[in-house]
Amino acid sequence: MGKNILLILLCGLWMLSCQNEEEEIFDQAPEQRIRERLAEFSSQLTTPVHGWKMEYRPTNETGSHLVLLQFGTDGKVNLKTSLPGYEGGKVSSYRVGSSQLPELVFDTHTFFHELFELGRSTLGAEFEFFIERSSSEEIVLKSKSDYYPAATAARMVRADESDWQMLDRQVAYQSFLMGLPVFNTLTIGDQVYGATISPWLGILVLNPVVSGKTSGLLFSVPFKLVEGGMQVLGDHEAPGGLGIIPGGTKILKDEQGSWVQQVVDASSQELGQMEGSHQPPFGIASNALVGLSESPFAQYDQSVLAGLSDAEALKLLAELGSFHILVGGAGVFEQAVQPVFGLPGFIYCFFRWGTLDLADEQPPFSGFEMWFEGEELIRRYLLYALDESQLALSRIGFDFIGLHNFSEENYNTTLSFWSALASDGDRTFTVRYTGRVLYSNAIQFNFELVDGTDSANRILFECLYFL
Amino acid sequence: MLQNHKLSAVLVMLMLMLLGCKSDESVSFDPLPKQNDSNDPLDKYLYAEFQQTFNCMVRYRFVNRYVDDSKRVTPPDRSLVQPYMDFLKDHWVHPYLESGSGSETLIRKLFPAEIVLIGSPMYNLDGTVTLGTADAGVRITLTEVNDFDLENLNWKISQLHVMQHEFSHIIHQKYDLPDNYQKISEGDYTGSGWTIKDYSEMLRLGFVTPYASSDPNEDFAELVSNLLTLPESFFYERFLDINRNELGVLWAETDDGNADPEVVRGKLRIQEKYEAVQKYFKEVLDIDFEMLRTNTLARLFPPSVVSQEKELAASYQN
Repeated sequence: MGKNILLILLCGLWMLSCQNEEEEIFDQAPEQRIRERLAEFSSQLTTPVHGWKMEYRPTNETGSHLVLLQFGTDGKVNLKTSLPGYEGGKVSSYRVGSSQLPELVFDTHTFFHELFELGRSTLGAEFEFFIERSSSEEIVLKSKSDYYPAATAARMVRADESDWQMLDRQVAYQSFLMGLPVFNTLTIGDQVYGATISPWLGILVLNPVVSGKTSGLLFSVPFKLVEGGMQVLGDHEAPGGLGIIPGGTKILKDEQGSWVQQVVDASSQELGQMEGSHQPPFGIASNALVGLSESPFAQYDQSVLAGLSDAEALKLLAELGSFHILVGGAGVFEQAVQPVFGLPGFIYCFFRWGTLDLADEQPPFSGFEMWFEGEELIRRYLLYALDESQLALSRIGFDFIGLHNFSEENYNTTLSFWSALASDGDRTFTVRYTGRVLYSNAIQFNFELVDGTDSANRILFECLYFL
Repeated sequence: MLQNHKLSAVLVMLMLMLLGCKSDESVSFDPLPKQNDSNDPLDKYLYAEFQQTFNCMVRYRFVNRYVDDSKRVTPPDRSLVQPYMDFLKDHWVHPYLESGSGSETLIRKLFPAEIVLIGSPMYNLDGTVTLGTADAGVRITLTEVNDFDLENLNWKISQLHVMQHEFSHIIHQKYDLPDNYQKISEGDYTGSGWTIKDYSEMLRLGFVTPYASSDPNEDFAELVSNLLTLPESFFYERFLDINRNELGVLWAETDDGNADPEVVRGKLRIQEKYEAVQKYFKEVLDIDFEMLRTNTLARLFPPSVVSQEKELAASYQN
């Protein structure tokens, strides 16, 4: 009997334990709440007309990149940054879901994955994010693979039209930087550095110059692109007690008179002005710079130049009179070259001169056009003008292909790579192609076309190529 | 009476247990939309060309459960997925479809249920890289899709080598290895020790690559995949070519041009394995392996690249 009572009591207790007396904190079941939360988040992502902007910084050791994202309701995202491959935007896909927490995953390859792969996937970048919090104005994401609570955060805020314009300016500047991996000198405060830039990592590797020589005391400084330059992120102390680079320092915008600044002048100013009237090829002339001491357009208002056709711009050039101008074109490198001596660097250039199609133009204006041809691209353009006594160049044609090795032995030495004669009916021209290795990763070459033996009648091209 | 009480108690408990089993919760484990429900042109293509035709799901979106936690990977660029799968179809599937009924039957029967595309290599925590995997005969994972370049013969060979290698695993997982295959190099399999071996040393032991020496399954997969991706003349000269000198003695040259009896032994072993593969394909799979090989290599090495095929194949393998 006692056993029966015990059994019944146990059954009773067991049944009581099945009763659900938990107080419901939420009105809805967890699954419903998750679904609604994700739907709300998806709506927040896709609503803004101009999308979202993010300053993405994978780690404290790297720089940050401005990223603009436009999420579509079809699971596609158009992502734009200033780095190669993303300047014009790139469509990838994303999904909003949940694992331990609601998450946003970029699930086909895009900018975040490029960073993720750097250093054999050791950099610490991320393409899977937990959604920390979100509103219609701000979304805060946290790296899914980092350990909490130290997980890297990425904050997105609503973008507006000016952000896209800002990014376009960064694209042009980044393009310039990508062709400029090594600086000769860079002066920050009182200290001079040799500097190497790594645009993807967003870092400058600095080598302090002591007693006229680089010291080898390398250290890196993260930066982000800002209007017209780079800005150092955080304070950084140079090794050897050589000073502190304070956060916020702006580089390439000051008036240090460094080589860096000179190059900036040649590219962003002269080329930039030409961009106004001649979009191709200067917009992406990343491998070409102009050895130009003075811009022929300097006296003109930018807005005037912007509306000119090619022919009008050439007329304008002709009116400017005599000057040496030189615009380098495109180059195709046979192989990737590291910015160190000892490795071979190859330049493969193909130039063709023909006639400029300005049939109705009369002297003094004469012209030619120049073609730059790489393996896959042909870009028209060289602008120039000659003074009235200059040659009437027409139907001059010559081609050359230059393939050269550069090494430390040639450093700062002028090399005669090539010379030849070209003729145009009764006239003979000497063409000379010389170059010299500058810095550890760049070569300047000069390209001269001389009328007979009169060196006064010449056209000189000075191009700076980065290997 | 006591028995009745006990029976009642047991019945009550059973009822409670049954009630406990009731579930009105739905749990979804697949974060991705079904390709057959998708309006995405890429999903529609994959559904029509692979799921409907070969009952194979092609996974190109990143889902971390497809890859071992110890590996770091990135997904493919979506613009490369369709060109890549077209390449795979043309260079891997079509030769099987064109090489007789047995060959067609095999590819349709053993077509992996899942192909997972990875854009990058698989970076392992120990610093090594994995180029592909085959899991339980149903899933093949292919890497470096983002390096897609049909002008790059080395990349094409590498991709097809991985595909043929992993598909070979599916074959032996279904039909076992050729009879006595593992006995040909018995005692010379080194497990993980293959990583410190070089090609010439392995040739002397009768393996076409160091990895082939890890175990008989890898040996089989490496042999088949090399036969189906290396130029015929190159494979012959490197792994099979044996001469007989004026005294009637077999000899073979090492890479530096010297005769080496151990190389003779190694090449004879590879010849024996090769013949075992041919016989196995014929008798077990009803496939003329030479026809399959000819059709496969013809796509990989069309006349336009024949002149460079040996050089490229050699650089790939080294």
